[in-house]
Amino acid sequence: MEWPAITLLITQCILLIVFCFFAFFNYLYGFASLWTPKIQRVKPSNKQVAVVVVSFNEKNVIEETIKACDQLTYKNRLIVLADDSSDIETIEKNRGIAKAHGCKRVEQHSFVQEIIKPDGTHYCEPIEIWESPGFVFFHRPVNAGFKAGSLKKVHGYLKERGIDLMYLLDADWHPQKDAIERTMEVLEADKKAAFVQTKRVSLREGMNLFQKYVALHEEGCYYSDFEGRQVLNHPTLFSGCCTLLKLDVIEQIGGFTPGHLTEDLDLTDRFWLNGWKGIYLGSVVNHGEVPFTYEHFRRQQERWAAGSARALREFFWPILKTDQLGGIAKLSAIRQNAYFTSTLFTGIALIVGIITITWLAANWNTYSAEYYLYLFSIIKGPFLVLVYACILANFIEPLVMILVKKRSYEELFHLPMSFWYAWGNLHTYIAGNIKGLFNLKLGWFCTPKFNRDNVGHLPRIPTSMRLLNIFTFVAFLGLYFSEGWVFGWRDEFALLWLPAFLIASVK
Amino acid sequence: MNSHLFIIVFFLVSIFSAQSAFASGGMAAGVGTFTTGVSDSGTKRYRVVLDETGQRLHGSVNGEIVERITIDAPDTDIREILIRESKDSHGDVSLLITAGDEFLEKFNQATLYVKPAYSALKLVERVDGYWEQRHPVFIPLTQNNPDQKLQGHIVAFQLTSLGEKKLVENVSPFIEGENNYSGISVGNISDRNMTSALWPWVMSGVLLTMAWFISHWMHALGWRGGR
Repeated sequence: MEWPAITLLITQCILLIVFCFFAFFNYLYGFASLWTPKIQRVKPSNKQVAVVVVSFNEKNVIEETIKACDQLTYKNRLIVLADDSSDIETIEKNRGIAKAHGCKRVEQHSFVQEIIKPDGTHYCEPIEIWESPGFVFFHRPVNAGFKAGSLKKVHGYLKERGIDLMYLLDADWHPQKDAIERTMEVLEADKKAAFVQTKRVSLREGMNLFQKYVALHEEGCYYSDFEGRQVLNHPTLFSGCCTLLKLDVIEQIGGFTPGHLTEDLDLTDRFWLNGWKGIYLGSVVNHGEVPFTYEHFRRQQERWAAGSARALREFFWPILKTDQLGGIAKLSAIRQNAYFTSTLFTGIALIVGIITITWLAANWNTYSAEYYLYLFSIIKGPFLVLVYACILANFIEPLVMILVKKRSYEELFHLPMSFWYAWGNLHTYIAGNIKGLFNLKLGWFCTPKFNRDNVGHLPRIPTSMRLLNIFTFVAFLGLYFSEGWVFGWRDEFALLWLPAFLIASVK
Repeated sequence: MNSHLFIIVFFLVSIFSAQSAFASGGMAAGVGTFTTGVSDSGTKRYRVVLDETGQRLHGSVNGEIVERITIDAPDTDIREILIRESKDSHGDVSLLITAGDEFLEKFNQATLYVKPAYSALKLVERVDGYWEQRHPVFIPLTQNNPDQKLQGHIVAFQLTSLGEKKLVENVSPFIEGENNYSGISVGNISDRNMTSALWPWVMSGVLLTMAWFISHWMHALGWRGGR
């Protein structure tokens, strides 16, 4: 009866190969990021650029963002506040900003939003537009299709005005003053480039401690992964904002997809499949916010996981089959789409680990169990080297950022807590992946933005999620205790999962 | 930079970085868990290929403890068994001899040859739930030379079953206590299991507490910023 042993071992080897795939690119791009990418530049033209700020009930931050846009040094720009707010106070505030920029309401125009009533019937409602020479307030009555739905309408509006370039910002992101000049000189130098992505970071001053943990996760990629890809000329991601985009190319590839939870990845995939490329310009820095609370971080990650999983489902085969990408570029593109799906494999690896332990305990001192352990003893050396190399790969992005790029060594002291917080979200990642892969419904989650000095009451994670985390924590306590008690093994993986789920249980 | 050239260079460098990663031991996994007995370092397993000579099967083990085994199991086609050797800090040894079900059905008896270093130990074998002592037979080893000079000896034990055996200094806890002796560990013959069981809890708690305090302390000190 060797087949259970062989099945378990093969399953573990397959999982390890999957993790090695992700780890390989982490190492590759982390290592490559130590070089400086060569980026061509030309003197930028004076084309009109729309600086589009997408907002949804973000009354705390929008004013400061518009102020930052006003300080952009590029003269031929049009600031467009693309607002989907439903909160009356926020809408009034945004109207006030428009008025302050000299805008008048446009009564006669052709832009309407098609709205679906609960009974399934459709009706059209005009979009509220306020205009001045340098500013537009573009308010949709309903947040249908989420951010991509808003961008689709704005795209149509800009096309009618003959604007081909858009610098896209989320409501809390403040661009570098010369961001448009710097990105235009790069975009116009490469005819095959459809967008220029810039760096997105958060200022540490005034952050709460949890935000510092999140920032380590969400910013590392801009210092390591994006830089490395640019050095190697591998496919670059449009990460949703702080990006200069060619609108005619977006139209050519089918436009924004309303309702997509990761409209950026969806658009990026279609850029790649149609032979367009992106350029990452890390020297242009935009400042914004990361989630303030564990609950907001959790929901943000769920949306990203679900959206990425949907993109993986829709674009896996097209990427494999396309002749627009080379072999390694295809793997890189698949890795980008599967980035969050790696957490699903982590969940599977945990389950396989639990099954293995249970099976070994039930069959202890039998030939079958000994056969498994004998086979494992043969591959143990290289297997463990790869396991620990994969573990270390998780730390590459923040380590490159902290030790090489920023030399902000204090952040090292936040790294363990930061990873435990992230790993404690495992259930959320798995749920997001399942929703995305199986096309289950998940609403949009717009991460709430606050002024750092006026945060107010912040939510905790829901009781049901906390109970699930408590249950998982207790299960892990039992598992690792049993492993030591029954087999005499000291499982170092406990040092990852026990703190992670203890934190997730009490937050 | 030429990306293909870069990847080749990267591969070469990553071989070394992977080795250093292993040497550092790692702290945890972001990739899942492979609970496959990675800490089971006090135990060794050997696959023994059996040859047939006459009515008996025999195989060399090349283990730390067991030298050789001969088995009387007529009419079986199976030609391999597994032997597990474990040693505890007191010098007591646990052996486990396993084979496939078909082999066990045909098994009659076996002779286990252990290395001279273990000749002072006594072997107990678990048969039908009871521990039974097996007395050693010392077999002199000679060299094929004109003087037939004695080269040493090996120790043999007659076994009536496969399964778990122990080589111990004192058999009384097994024989006198009979079935009150339940064995201490299925993995290793030691009493370290409670320590191993509590190790993940304690270490996790210590690490989390340290990380929490240091992180909060650094935060309270204020940010000094980076480049």
